[in-house]
Order: sequence, then structure tokens, then C-alpha cells
Amino acid sequence: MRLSRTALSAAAPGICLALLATGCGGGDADGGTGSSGDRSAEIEAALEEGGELTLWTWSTKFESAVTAFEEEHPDVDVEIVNAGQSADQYTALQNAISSGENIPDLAMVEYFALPELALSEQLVSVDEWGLGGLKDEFTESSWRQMTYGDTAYGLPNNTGPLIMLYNQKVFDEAGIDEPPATWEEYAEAAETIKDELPDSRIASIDPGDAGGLDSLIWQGGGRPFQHDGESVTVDFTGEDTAKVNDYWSDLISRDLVAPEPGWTDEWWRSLGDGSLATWTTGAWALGNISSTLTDNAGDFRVAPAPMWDADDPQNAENGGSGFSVVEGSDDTALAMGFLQWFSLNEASVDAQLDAGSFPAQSAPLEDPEWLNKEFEYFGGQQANKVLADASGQVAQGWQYLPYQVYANSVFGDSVGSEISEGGAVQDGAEKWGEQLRSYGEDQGFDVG
Amino acid sequence: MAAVSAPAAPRRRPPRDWTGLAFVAPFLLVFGVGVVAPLGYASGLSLFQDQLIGGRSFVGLQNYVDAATDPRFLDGISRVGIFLVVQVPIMIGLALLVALALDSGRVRGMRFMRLGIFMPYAVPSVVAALMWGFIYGDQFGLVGQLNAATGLALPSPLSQSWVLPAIGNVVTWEFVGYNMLILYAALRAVPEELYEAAEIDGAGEIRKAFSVKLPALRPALWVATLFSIIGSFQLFNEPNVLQTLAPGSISTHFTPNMYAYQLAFNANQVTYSAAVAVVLGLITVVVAYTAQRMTARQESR
Repeated sequence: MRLSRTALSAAAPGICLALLATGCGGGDADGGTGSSGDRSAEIEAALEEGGELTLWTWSTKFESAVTAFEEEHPDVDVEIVNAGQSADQYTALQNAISSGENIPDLAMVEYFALPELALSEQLVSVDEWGLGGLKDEFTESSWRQMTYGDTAYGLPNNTGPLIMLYNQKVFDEAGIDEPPATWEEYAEAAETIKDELPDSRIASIDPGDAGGLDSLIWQGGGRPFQHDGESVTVDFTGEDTAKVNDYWSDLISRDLVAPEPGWTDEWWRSLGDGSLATWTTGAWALGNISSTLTDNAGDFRVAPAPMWDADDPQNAENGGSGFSVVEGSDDTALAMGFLQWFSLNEASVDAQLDAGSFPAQSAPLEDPEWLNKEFEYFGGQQANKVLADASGQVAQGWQYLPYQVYANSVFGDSVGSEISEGGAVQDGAEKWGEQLRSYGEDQGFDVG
Repeated sequence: MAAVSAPAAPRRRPPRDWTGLAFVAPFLLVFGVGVVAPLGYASGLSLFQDQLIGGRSFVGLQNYVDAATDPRFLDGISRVGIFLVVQVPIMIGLALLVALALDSGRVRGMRFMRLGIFMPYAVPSVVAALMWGFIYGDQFGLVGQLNAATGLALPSPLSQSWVLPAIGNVVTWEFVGYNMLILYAALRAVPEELYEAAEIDGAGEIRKAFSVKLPALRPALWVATLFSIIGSFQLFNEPNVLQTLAPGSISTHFTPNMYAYQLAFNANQVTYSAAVAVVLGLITVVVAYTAQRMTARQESR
């Protein structure tokens, strides 16, 4: 499989190898033009010829965009397959690739999983197909999260800048006028809520959700994971990392937040009946809450996530994903053609926005119509403005491990048990770090 | 051909009769494909190492050496060990009590009771675990409602210290009826004459239970215990489902089976997972065999 692809793309990478250092992979806006010229003809031809594509995603937000593509390209048939959620899909993908059967042409890949999938050669580089030049069409942070090393392994699709959903009714009852803008105010609000409404807490913290704590650490300035080629650093002892962990330990030990897993039936009910007043999460959650807690229409509002420094707002992302062409696809050229159209064509992007996806594409983020949209569910609030600001404040320099899927799976063993027993989150995080370092060594990484 | 040549040259020994093999062949085929081949494959796999950087390489018995000192694996083994020692006797004891009560014929609504106790076994274990997960909820679940109604502060069954008994409760609920049925069937097979003889000797119901029924139940009790021992080592569905509700209490190495699953599907270590599975299989065989020897010795006395 690797051979045939290399043979196909022999010309362009050959030149790339010779030049090696610069201009290859389309990292610059105009860098990939040489190869993109060649390949775009190939992609066009594939789209003309038509064929069948299989697309793996567990999200339901993309059906109408795919339909739009099929209308525009009647000879191409795209089948959406739900191969499991997140880690389950990555396992299925790995199994498909190693068995060589039922390999999808494209798959949705969350940013945290991208390095792992790229490293294990499961994804096709878009740079090789001249799509690297599309970099400027997407937000900087999302593009960087679709790259491993200096190579982009897909196009970003949606992002999850951290925001805070809060229940206006609970805030009114507790006598809180403004949503907390800083974490200091958040802790004060947490006390007020507990004092005024003894059965309510400001929020829950999930002992099983690595991504949740990761984004809080990211937002606080901690950068526990770094990688460069085969060398990896895992360090939870940094000052900013510890600051975030200790903050949450404090809230948990004072019984101000509920150490409960999210997304369970019980949790949704707590959020719906006001037992939990806020939910700090990715921007994608607007769609989830409005479609799940339908009885709560009008109760919730969207606010920026609390900041550590109100004068210098640094935000983070929670979740978000892109789409990649899978190594071993029967028709890589056609898959690339779909990927480009699906990611950037206006009809496709509009369909995705209507389905509640929060875009990684830059254009809609500046589109007044999108920005001014009033959300009935959120009391007529122009919520997209809050989200777009949150997106613009995402801090740089965050990386996930090239084995983050594994890392997240063992989060509950160390950090989770501290959270649910009201212990020291920082101790749990350091234990997690130790486990991740020894795993990295076992897997052949150079662990610093 | 055989019919022609046999009378012509009579042999000293009768020709081997292959008819039996024909009858066993379908089983052997399924056994070979379904049990021997996967075991062989897993054992072979367990001699290799997978790395994200470096790929697959032969490491001999290194995985077994690692497993023998792997704190996560040993943690899981000791947990199911404790589970086995506590939960199995309770469950078998309950099943025995119910079977004896039903067999005494003094229980009203016997059919209904028998069916009612057996019913949970018909519920898939994943569904049972989900259902109990709701009951255990300390916010909206039964535990939460009890606390709210009575002002008690019952601890959450899903907290670290209570989660193992909570799982034991689910497993007991699921399998008491199944074990009861094994024992009850054995009791129904006791010849009526034994009871008549005991009655003539002046034995009451309790004396009959101890002197006639229990000895007759030994083989069935042994079968039920053996299944339960194996079941304990295989513990997977219940903790795996409850993990979503209690990620901080149920680790990825809570039971050896969960650990093997985690290694194979999340940790990129199929080969090490195979070694863990082989070791777990061996431990199960040893424990089951030891238990059998102990009962066999008792029986020969």
C-alpha cells in the first residue's frame, strides 16, 4: 500500500527530498504550488471519473454536507459509517488497516488522536497532494493540530474553544449578576451557589475525562506534553500545571464542585434541574445541550470561560476534529477531492454550521450573518460572537502526546481516583505522568 | 475393499474401527478451530513485542517475566481472588438455601418463586450492570432517594471502598437463580425411597436435608462452584459497564480480563495482552484443579 502511493506521487516528493529543507509540504501559503498543480489535475480527473467512498464518523453533523457533495458530484457515492465513538473508532481503524480489509477512505480524527495515527502511518499527508496550500483557510490553532512533525495529515473541520454554559435561572436564584470572568470569581460564585442553594453546585468535574482537565491546564498555561519526532516529554510538575490542579483540588475538598462523571443520564438530569449551574466545555457543546435538554430552552446562556488573568485572556480548546484520508484507501485522489470540497465549499460548510458544528474554517468566523445569529435556545443571545472571541484567544504551544489515546484511557486510574475521592489532583497528575513516561519508553520513544 | 480383502488374509488383531472417530470428528473440528487454534495463536503472539516505534520483534518469554511482576496485573488477580473467596460462598449458600426450601415443598407459590429467582439469569449481564448502575446512583438512583427520604447518609456504592461489594451484589443477583436450578435439579433426582427410608427411621425435614439431600448434592455443588470460580476470574462485563459511572473507582486493571482488554485495545500491546491472557488461563486451571482435588479427597473419605 505504501509502495503504490509512493510510486504514484514519485515526482513531487522526489523534488522535495532534494530540496529537503524548505518549500516542501506546502507549509507556506504558496509552498505547495509546484506539486499542487500536478496533483489537482489528478484530483479533478478522479472527481470526474467518480467512484465510491467510505467515510467514518460517529458525529451526525455531516450528513447534509455529504448529501450536498453528492448532488454536486453525481458520479461519486459517499457512504457514512459509524464505526464507534472516539477510541473505539481508532481501534477499529487500526484493525482495518492491519488486516487490510474494510479500510475506509476517510475518517474523522480528533486533534488529540492525530499524532498517534500519523506516527503509526494510518493517515495520508495532504501536503503530498497539494492541499497544504489551504492552510490559510483555517484557524491557525486548528491547522497546527492537524499536523505532526511538519506535515499536515488532513484538514481541520471543527474546534472546541473553551466557553462556559451557565444556567441563568440558577444564577438569578443565587443572586449572581454576572457570570464569573476569572477563576477567582468562579470560586466565589461556587461558594455563593452552595450557600444559597445547598443542593446545587457550580459544576461537576469528571474523573474520567482527560480532555477536560487537559484543556483547563492548557488554559492555565501548563504544557505537560511535548514531542518532537521520536522524543517525548511528559512533565506535570510545571508551575502553571500545578496551579490548575491545586485550584480544582481546593474546590473539590471544599465540596464546591461535584466530582461526578459527565455525560451520564444522572449528570444530564443534574444539569437540567439546576443541581449543576455551569458547564465549562468546548464550543461544540451548544448543539449537544440544546438537543438533549430540550425542556430547558431559555435557561442557559453562553459566556467566555473564566480566565486566569482578565487583562491577558488566554484560552484553550476542548475537543475538535478534522478529517483525514486513510492509508490504504482504494482511491486516494478521489478521497482528497472529497476532503477539499467537503472542508471548504460554501454549501458544505453552511450545511455543517446549520447542523451545529463550530467551524475550524476562518471564513464563517468573520461572516456577519453567522456572528449575528440569535439562538432562541439561549434566550436570543448572539452566542456565536462569544464563541468566535473564545476561538481567537486560544493560546499557542499546546501539544498532545503521540500516544494520547492510550494516555486518556488511563487517566481515571491515577487522576480520576484522586478527583473522585477528594484527594490531591496534582499527585494524581504526577502519577499519570510517570505512567505515561514509562509507557513511552516501552513504546520506543526517547523520553525526556 | 475391506470386505474383499479381510476374509482373504485374516489378521491376528481385528482391524481398527474408525467409526468412533467419525462421530467425534465434528466436535474435534470445532474444538480445533474454536479452542486449540486461538490458544496456539495467542501463545505464539505472546512471544513478541509491539512498539509504536520499532514495530514487532521477538522477545521470547520476556512478556511472561513482565507479567509476573506487573503490579497492575497482580492487583487485578488479587482483587478477583478476594471476590472469589467472599462472593462465591455467599452465592452458592443462597442458591443452596433456596433450592432446599423449594424442594421441601413447604413454600407457597413455588413455581412463581422458582421463576422469579431464575429470571435475572435471563437478563444479559450488560443490561443488569446498567440497571444496577441506575439503582446505585446517589443523586437520582435508589440510593439517592433512600438518603433523601430517610435522612440517612448511605455511602455511594460506587465509591472506591464499596464498589467491589456492589459488583458482588450484581453478580450474586444474576447467578443465584442459575445455581439454584442446578442444585434443585439434582435434588429432584434423589430417589424417593431414600426419603421413605429416612422417614421410617424417624427423620424430620431438617435431618433429611443434612443426611440425605446434602450428600446427594455434592456433585452438583461441585459443578456450581467450579463454574463460579471460572466466572470470578473472567469478571469483565459488570465492572466494565459500571466504569463509565465510576471511572475513579474502577481502574483499567480492575480485573485481569479488563486489563487484558485495555492492553489489547487501548494500549497498543496485543502481544503483552496475549501473555496476560495465557497466564490468567493457567491460573484459572490451577485453581479449578486444586478445588477439584480437594472435593475429590473429601469424597473418597
